[in-house]
Amino acid sequence: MEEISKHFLNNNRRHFLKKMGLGIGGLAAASLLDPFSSLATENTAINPSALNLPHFAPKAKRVIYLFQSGGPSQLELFDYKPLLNKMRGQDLPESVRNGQRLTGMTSGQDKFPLVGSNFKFDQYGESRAWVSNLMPYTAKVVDELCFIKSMNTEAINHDPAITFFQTGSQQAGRPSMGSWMSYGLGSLNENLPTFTVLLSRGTGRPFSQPLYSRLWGNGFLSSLHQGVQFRSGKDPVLYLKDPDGMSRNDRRQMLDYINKLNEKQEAEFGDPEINSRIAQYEMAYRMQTSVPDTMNIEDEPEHIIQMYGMDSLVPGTYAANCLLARRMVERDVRFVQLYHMGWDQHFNLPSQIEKQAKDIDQATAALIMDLKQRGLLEDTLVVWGGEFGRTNYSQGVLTDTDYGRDHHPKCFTMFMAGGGVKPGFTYGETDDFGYNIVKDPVHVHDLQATIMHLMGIDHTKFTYKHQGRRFRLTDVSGHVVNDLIT
Amino acid sequence: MNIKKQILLIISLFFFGISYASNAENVPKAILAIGRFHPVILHLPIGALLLTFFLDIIGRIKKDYPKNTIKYALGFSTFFSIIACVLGYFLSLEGGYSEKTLDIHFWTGILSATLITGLFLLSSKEGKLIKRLFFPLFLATIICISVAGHFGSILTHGDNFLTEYIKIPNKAKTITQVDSLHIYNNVVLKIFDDKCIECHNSTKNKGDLSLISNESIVLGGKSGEIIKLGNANESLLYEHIQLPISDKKHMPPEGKPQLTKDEVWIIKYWINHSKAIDDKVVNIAKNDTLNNLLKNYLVVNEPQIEEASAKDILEVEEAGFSVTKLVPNKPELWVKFKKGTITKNSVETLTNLKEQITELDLSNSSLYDDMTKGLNKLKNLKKLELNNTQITDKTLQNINELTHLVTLNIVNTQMTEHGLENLLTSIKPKHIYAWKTNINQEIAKKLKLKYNVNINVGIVEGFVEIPHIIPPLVLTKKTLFTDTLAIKLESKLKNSTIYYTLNGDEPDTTSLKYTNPILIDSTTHFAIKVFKKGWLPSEILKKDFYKIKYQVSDYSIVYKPESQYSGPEKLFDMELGSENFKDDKWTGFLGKDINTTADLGDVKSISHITVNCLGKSKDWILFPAEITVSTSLNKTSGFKEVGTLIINEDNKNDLAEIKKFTVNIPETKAQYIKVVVKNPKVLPSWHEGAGNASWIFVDEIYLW
Repeated sequence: MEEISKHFLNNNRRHFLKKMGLGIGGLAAASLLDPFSSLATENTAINPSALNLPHFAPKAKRVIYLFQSGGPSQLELFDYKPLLNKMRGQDLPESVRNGQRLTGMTSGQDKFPLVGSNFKFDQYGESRAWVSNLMPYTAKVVDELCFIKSMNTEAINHDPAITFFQTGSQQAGRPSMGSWMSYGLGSLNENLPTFTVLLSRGTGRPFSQPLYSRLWGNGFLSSLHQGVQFRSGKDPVLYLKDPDGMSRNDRRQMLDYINKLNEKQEAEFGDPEINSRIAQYEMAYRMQTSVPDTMNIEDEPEHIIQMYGMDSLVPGTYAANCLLARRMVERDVRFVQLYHMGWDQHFNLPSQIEKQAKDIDQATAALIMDLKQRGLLEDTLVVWGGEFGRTNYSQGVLTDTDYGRDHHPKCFTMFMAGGGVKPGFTYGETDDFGYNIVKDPVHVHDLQATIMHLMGIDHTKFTYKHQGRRFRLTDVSGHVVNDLIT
Repeated sequence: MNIKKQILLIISLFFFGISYASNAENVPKAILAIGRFHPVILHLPIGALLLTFFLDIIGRIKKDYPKNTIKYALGFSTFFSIIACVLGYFLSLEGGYSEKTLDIHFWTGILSATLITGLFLLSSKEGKLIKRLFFPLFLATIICISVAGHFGSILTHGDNFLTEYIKIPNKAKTITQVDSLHIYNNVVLKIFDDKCIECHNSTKNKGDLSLISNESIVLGGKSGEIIKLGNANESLLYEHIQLPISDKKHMPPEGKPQLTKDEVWIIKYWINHSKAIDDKVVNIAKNDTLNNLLKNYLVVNEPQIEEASAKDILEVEEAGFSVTKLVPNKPELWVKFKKGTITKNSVETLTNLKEQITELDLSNSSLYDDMTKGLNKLKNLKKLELNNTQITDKTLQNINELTHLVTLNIVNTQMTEHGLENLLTSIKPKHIYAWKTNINQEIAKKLKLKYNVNINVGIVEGFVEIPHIIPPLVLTKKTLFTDTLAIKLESKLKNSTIYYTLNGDEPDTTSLKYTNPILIDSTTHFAIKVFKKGWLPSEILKKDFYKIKYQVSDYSIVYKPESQYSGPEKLFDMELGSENFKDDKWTGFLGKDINTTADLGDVKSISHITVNCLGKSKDWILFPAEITVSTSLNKTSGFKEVGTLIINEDNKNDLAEIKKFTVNIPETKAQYIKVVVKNPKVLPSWHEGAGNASWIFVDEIYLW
């Protein structure tokens, strides 16, 4: 009797009806054929193999997403537009802007004086990629990078734009990319979360917009899949440490007893959520040792510190986070999301971006080279980019040495490395004004589709039914950009 | 007999029609429209005839022959078979069908109709001969209508429709190199096969176009040549597939399976870059995208791997490995050793899965040479990670038969040039990671040239520029003190040395060396630098500590600060604020001056009054305009101005800035000191809030 009541509790009305036809017979057949997807792994929330993912052999097993929050100026870093220097101060022709929607910050401006970069550009590597002198270390590794110069988005303000990149929708509430991956592909590691988040503030504009934790939220997916923020202070993961005076043994005993209670409850009610609760308690217990081990960079040799730069010794900096990101992927964390704030340089751009670029340049390049020398770059995808680009005209007063740039959604540059993307490759082109895309546009959804493809997922088939509708990361659009893939 | 006459009339009319219109170019649209009903009607006589045949046989067996039923049923079939013939003829006028097949269908169809009519006529007749003839004739009719039906199906579905899945597929020649693909035969034809052949084949060739072979493509269709090699844009074929789907001429037609973006790309490429129609890929300029797309068309005879049994997997998992499927429903496995002690026995369990293991990760374990002996058995291994283990060259001999190996990771092991070269003579993994081994940059380069493999031995020299050490941290939070203060310093870099001076001069390695906290008893201007061999010294860190003569405990103030940055007591609490004006250390005044009088409790001598201010014009916070100091020996009267400082800050810095403004006065004796810090009152004209009241922020006023 007990088994029967449990069976019905685990299978609600819909499940039951769905399984009536194929379910039971199919399940039996499946368990004979495939020891991985059968009764042994009932709970799809915990074990993804029941989702039958990946759809095909992945090129990347892990992702490090270096999110540059605020919108880095592509015109100062990678997208070389000498015409803007020639036409400095002249008004942006309306034929180029073509009625493009502007933010409230410059829509009141009566002139849109074009401004070229104050920084020198040069071509580097065998791939002859253009990089400005703000990024000397990045320039050394261009042959590992796959630039997309034709990124475009629909959002013009920070929060919707970041939310769009992370969740595929400008409105909040959908799962973040890392949560989707965690849900679809599951964990590679028993001791650390599948999706981790590291934050840093840039020195370019230290008091810029904050970020919201919903950006790495699980949306409508199970809370198992939300991003876990690792902080730089004493408590990397909040509420993980035992209180003073509590020994690990006490904790173990307490958990054992709670587990017993929970198991009893589960036996009575058969609610699968109780099982995930038990799993989370156990994960937290293991994290009590695995997190300090991950965060402890004492054993990093000096040449690695020199490689990432001195900032890597200062907890909470971008460089330190890059080093941690490497330590995390070494421990098989599936999706590591970094955010570096402070790229929103509306005024005093030249002085701010100089500091901001210095924050990230060496550590980014070092991360890529370090992954490479460890053999990890092959199946780890590194993504670098912000939520939009910046305008080719100056916001505020244009002087000989100073200018600012407003948000620009129509074109910006990102780059990826490793994980099955073409190294030393540049894709897409913008016009001479650096305002519109003239060749091979890549939309946010296209990038998401491509990242999922690299992870072995067909973005059109990976859905989650919620509120009567099937949702996917790329919503109803997105095309895999095959040209980027090796 | 009346019916018979009518039937004969219809048949003769029909034949007349053929002779009349078979060459007609312009068939009325109404006729074509009616012709489209052929598929609807034609199945009626077939079904009815088969049912009649069944009744005939059953009737004979059961000795209860339903003579009338059979007669009426044959009448039904007769009527509709003739209609079907007429409509079929109309349909054939549309054209686009292979003449030969059409002819067979046409005549067998008419013959069927004739035979059915005959049967119908016979069915009402009596007589022995007729009875004997009836059944064979019925059989012949059934055969005839089947033949007609079959050829009809060829016309609509193509000639291999019936047999497509019955035939044993030709064993395709294995093509593993993109180079040896024939772009037409192996690639384009496959696309046509999937998406175009249904309507453009030798039997059904819409628009007189058949895409079935090299020759027929060159021949083109009704509108002429469809391909102009070297120019896709002028090729009719490409033009039609490029048209928007709403266009009538778009191919494949709306509702049929469409060409994908990649397929269109390949077709374009094929037309643009082929000199002859069937160039090999090798003759075509290569680029990455092409290579990538063409990989899908390679014909590979993958070795058939069986699914691993649950028992074997369990055994391996129990030996300390995690076993993951690379793709569900496929047998390939990724096996990884979970960190810790690995034993010979645990490695041996892997041979249970010797076919299925495609990726094996034994890294970060106590693995040594003796354990790796069985690895050669894992014949389908593509990726092998042996980094951070005890293995040496000997292990490389244990893997020299893994011909499918693509990636080998031997980072941080005892490998030497000799061992690696030995391995490379037998197998050639594409990527080898050999950082932190005895293989250096030069050897790697040499082997790379010789064996055409990628060997990574760490970052290229010159990537790292020796950095400056970061300046030390000052752990002492206080900057103001009245008696003595211990200054604690710390360098983030292990084994580095801190040198400092007490007068603000730049320190070097001969300056004072920091070992223990430094005790100071007077205002001190520290200059600190960190040094370490092999690193560039840190930038100079300057930090000032001020000794205050008197801590003010009693004071009065005219205007209170705004409530959100409240508490005038903060002005004399000996704590300085940060660049964040909301850090609860700052007091803020909106549009008002600070006018405060401090009571020293006794007559004392003073010479400096310092006001610590924050400016951040973006947040409407300006530096003060002026500071005046008056002193008195008496609380109520006799204040005498002893010093003024006019401040001319332009306030144009976007970022927060903290500045100390010191009013130096001749040494004065006084008990009461009045300090007035003047607010500029309004924001200047260049400011976005011009005309509004301005803020001033002060965290401390101190005397020394």
